[in-house]
Amino acid sequence: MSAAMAVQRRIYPGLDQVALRTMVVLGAVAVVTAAQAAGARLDSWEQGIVLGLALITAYRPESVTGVGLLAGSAYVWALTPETLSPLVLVAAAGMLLAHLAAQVAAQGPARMRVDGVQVRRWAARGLLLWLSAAVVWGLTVGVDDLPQRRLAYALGLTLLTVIAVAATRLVRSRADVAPTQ
Amino acid sequence: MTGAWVRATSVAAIVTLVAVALGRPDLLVLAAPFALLCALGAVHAPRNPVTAQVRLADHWLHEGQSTTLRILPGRAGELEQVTATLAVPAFVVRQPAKGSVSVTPRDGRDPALEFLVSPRRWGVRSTGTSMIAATSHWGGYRWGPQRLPEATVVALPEARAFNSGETPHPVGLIGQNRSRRGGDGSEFFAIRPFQPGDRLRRVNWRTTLRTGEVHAVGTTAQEDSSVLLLLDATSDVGASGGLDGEVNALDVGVRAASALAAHHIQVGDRVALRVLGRTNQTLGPGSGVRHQRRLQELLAQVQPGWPDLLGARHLRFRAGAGTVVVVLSPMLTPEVTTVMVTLARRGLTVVVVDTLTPEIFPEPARNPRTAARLAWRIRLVERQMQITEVTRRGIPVVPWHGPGTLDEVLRRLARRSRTPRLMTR
Repeated sequence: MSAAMAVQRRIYPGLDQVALRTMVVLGAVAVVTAAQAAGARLDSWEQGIVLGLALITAYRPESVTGVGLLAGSAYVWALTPETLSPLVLVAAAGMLLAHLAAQVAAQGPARMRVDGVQVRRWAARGLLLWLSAAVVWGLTVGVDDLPQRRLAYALGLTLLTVIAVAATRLVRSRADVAPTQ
Repeated sequence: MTGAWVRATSVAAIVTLVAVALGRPDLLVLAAPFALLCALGAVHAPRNPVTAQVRLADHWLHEGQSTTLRILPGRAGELEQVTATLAVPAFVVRQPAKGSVSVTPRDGRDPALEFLVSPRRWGVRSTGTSMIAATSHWGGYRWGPQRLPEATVVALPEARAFNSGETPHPVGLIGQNRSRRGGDGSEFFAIRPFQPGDRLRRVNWRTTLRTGEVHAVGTTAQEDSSVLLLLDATSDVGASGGLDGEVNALDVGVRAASALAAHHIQVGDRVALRVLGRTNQTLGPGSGVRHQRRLQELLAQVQPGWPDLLGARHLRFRAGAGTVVVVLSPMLTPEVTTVMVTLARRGLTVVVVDTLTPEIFPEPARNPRTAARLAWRIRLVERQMQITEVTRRGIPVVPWHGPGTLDEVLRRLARRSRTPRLMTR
């Protein structure tokens, strides 16, 4: 037991929440900037839609608008004429930043203090995920340089098979240990 | 599943399909992190349902004190992040004031989410509605938000420092009230001839040598009194803001009763309680810390309202001769006035503590534009008539102002009790 406590009448989101949600918008801006730098010609209404979706997602990070934001970001990048530009990695980083910032922001009410442990953890994971994008980009560039395209198809099919087997094993193992209600 | 996982899955699927359809490998670069995130979230799906408990460190507090409310989710190994929110009702404040707490379980230990809650007004208070949500590793799955059962805390009324003069009719064996008869006390009474039973150290040698007869110093006995606290809870006038805001008449009555009980029990008196209200709490005379605690518990459960039977004929107070009856009332109920007069006619010493001060009057009573002000004026005239009536019958009415409220009136009553008077039985 302790003495009396102060009473706070009106509560607003803290600066940490504002900074976190700003990351969502910054991620979208990074994608648009990277796409324009890679040669994409964007109309102002296209940019406006993406930024609008980013603002809505920042305000309501749990909403379905986030799908629209990420799909719109991918569309913006798809307008670039150069398919293997390294700037695609910047775009991927921007999309990841927007997604992960929204994910951490959606862990509680807007007035909640952001958990620093979660921010650090997701920052590290974001880097790992971005590395997967870099690996795919490296593979793409490598496959593009292959003399025979058949080898590319073989590699792709092998990869798909590995993924299918892994997914089957995973689903089966979870079904085996499912609790009885 | 979390919204984030659905988002990642949708984007990975859509962008991959478009990449294959359009033959754009760069879109695969964009989809790859989301596909990996989706897969990792699915791998770490929780296998068992989560359970959570609410624990309150203290169930009994004084108003203004605080205690810890712990929310304990189990199965920490499958949880990556747990969030709890607490929405508190009126007269309860929380810490953190934002009402949400988030923790990340570490080292496989079950996390505990803690709030400090503090009741700001006496009574039985709910600590509020708490909700909890937890996400699995890699943010794939979410449990909740789940509403948890509410905990209840009993806020005992604050016992502010109070002191008072001696009660007029000490009749018991122990206590600190000066009796009218001689005895083994500490207060000088007279120098009188030595009697069998007197202690040798009480012999006054100077008088003995002068008179040639053994004299001893006589002291007054110190005895305890019986005090009956009669709390009028038939009406609750004014708005209460708890400890941090305004007080209403019932707040004043309950806190004054608590302070009076604490004082009299401390000096060894026997204190009884009778509440005239919806709950009709009754506690017989007793002394000691445990009795004081029991009395405070009953005061914390007072609810304003009209009792089933309110009248001098129906009420039995079991107040013995010499009991001092302290009535805490806003003097708005004629039936309570009748009870006071009946007790006074039985020969008991009755003192009324007026719990209604002008600051307590509700807002409509002060607004000259409303008809409620006229109604209040009429009511206050009736109240003044009741005060005049009880005063005319020898019952003093004093407003409550903390320590010393009853000093003068008890002194006058003690003086009056030494004079013979006529009473009906």
